[in-house]
Amino acid sequence: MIVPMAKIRVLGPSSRLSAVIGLLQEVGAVHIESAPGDIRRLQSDIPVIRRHVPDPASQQSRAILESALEKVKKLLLLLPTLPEGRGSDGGPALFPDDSGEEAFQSVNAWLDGLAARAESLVAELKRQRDEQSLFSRYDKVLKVLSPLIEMVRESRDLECTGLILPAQEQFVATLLEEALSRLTDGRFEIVYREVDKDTTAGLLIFPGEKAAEARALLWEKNIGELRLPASVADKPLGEALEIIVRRQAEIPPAIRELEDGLAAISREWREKLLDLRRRLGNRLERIRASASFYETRMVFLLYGWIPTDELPRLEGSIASRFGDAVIVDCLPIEKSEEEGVPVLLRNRPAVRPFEIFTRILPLPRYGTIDPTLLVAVFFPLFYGIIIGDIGYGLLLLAIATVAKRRYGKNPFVSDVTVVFSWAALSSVAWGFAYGELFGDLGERLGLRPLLLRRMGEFRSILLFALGIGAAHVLLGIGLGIYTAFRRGKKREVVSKAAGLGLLVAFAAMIAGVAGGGPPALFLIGLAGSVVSLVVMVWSGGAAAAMEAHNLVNVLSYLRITGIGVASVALAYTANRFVSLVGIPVLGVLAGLALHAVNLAFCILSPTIQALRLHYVEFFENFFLGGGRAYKPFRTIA
Amino acid sequence: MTAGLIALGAGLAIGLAALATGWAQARIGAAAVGAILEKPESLGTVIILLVIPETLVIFGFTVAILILTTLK
Repeated sequence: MIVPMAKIRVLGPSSRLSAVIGLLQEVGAVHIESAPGDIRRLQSDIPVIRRHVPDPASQQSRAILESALEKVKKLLLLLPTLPEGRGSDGGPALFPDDSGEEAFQSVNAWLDGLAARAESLVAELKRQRDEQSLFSRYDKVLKVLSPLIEMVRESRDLECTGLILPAQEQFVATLLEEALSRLTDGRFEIVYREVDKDTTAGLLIFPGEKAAEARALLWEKNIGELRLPASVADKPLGEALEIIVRRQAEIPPAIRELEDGLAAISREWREKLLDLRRRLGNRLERIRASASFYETRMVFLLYGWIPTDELPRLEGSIASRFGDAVIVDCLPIEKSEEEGVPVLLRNRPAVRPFEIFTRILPLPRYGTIDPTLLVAVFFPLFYGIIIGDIGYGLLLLAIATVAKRRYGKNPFVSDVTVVFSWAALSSVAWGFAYGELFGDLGERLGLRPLLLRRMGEFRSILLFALGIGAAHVLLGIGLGIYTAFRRGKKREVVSKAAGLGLLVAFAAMIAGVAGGGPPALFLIGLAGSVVSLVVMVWSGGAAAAMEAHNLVNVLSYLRITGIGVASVALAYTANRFVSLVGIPVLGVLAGLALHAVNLAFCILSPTIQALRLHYVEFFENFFLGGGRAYKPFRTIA
Repeated sequence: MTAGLIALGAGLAIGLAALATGWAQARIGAAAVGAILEKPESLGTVIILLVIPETLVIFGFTVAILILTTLK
């Protein structure tokens, strides 16, 4: 439900402004109105009322606090998160007891020092990790080429270079060898080793005086020379690879040492920094909130909203702290400002999990209807009508129970499991109504339907779905009329009432034609339909005739039957696999597999269809989104 | 022969409706993925739009049932 709100005005002497702001933050229930409509009227009577402007000292202190908060946030990003209970929370807090500017300046300076330490460690850590990652790319090639380089390292007149040949370009090797033979008169050597199935590494050894020509040749033949990291690029291949191997051994301990350094800082300061972030944030919130106050030379003034059940607590706190010096007035909410009233949804614990379906819609406007309770009633009902199987229902209940036990700590998962537990129970109940247990297995075991049999009584279940649809849509229109009435939209009330009349008149026409009532019913229904359409157009113009689409909306509820019959047909087929396949074991396995597939469909498809019936056919008759979220001014946890 | 034609009619009613639904959902689904990527909060609206064409196949199913049960 949408929590009723009270519009309040807090009035007091300017000298108490700061204390009142602190108390409001402590109470944590007032949504401060930064641009109240009332203030304009008041300003026309009392022109000296103006928005509170913080003095230069406050503005200066705000800038210092913001800078400190930014530094704390940055530090918290740099420092690693430690396992719970590993941090030190002893020692004095970082937030100064003295709230003067100088105290915060010194906190800022201290933060700068700590940030510099952490930043240098993080920068060095990044450099080491980058180098490690870069060198790791040479691992495979190094392993292959190192023994070959060992063989040629003593020859001073020779030069060597590493080659990388992709598998699909191996043919180039022959061309290269021919060209090198011509260039060096056969004084060269290439040794190949396979790196992996896609790459071959080679070591080319050639006379030092032919180095430039040999490299040009490699470039000409488009053969990839082994490119070494920039830090060792100017070194001969053998020496470079030696450095890489040495660095690969040195880097991991260096990384560990840097990580330990950061962890030590985190252990010592992280908890205190978190506390400092919270306190700085709260102080800044108070300064920001002061900008929403109005004042004269002597008094301050604040407009806001508070849930009506929280109002006595606020009044009590203010009276006990300030006596008669500060007054809280409860003002009437005018019709024109109703749409701007902040919206807070509060539902009973049993209904709250269904907010997962309403939260993905815009917030309803104040004075309209929060559909969560309706979803809590109708979603499990529709889900149950669609599945309608004792076996599937019990399996779903088991899955939901296990999921809640395992992952119930996650609030979203917990809500989902509660929703599906209700839906599963509804499926079991409707399973008894249809006499279904894993399709017709129940029937074979002697289970009889209490209401109707879905496979076979198609016309009955179609009419049943239409009946449910008509009832649901009529309820939606009824709620729409109520909402329009509450919002004072008279024409909309008439238009929606005409839409409701059209639906009833159309049902009468069908009953008259189908023989469900006296023949005169058709004429009455026809006359009713014409009158309803005329009233509709009269009350809301041609666009209001769109209300007639509710006739189609009712037909849309046939999906309840469609999806349900598809599901039960799959279950029937699964049960027939044993006799169809011929081999009992294989038939049972195939049947179980099809039941499993059906169960997966049972989780997904009815959910989407039941939700669609709510979002499209039901809500559009009464739901009005675009509500403003209730954001109380409170301490940051 | 008559029973065969009735069955063919029912099959066409649901089959063609299912094809139309599939075609519409494919187009909406492709656009929906893009929309959710850019604006994750549009998930609710996207689900509504995605399931709207399913009405076609539901009507196809209803017509098929009516053909099978009325013309027997």
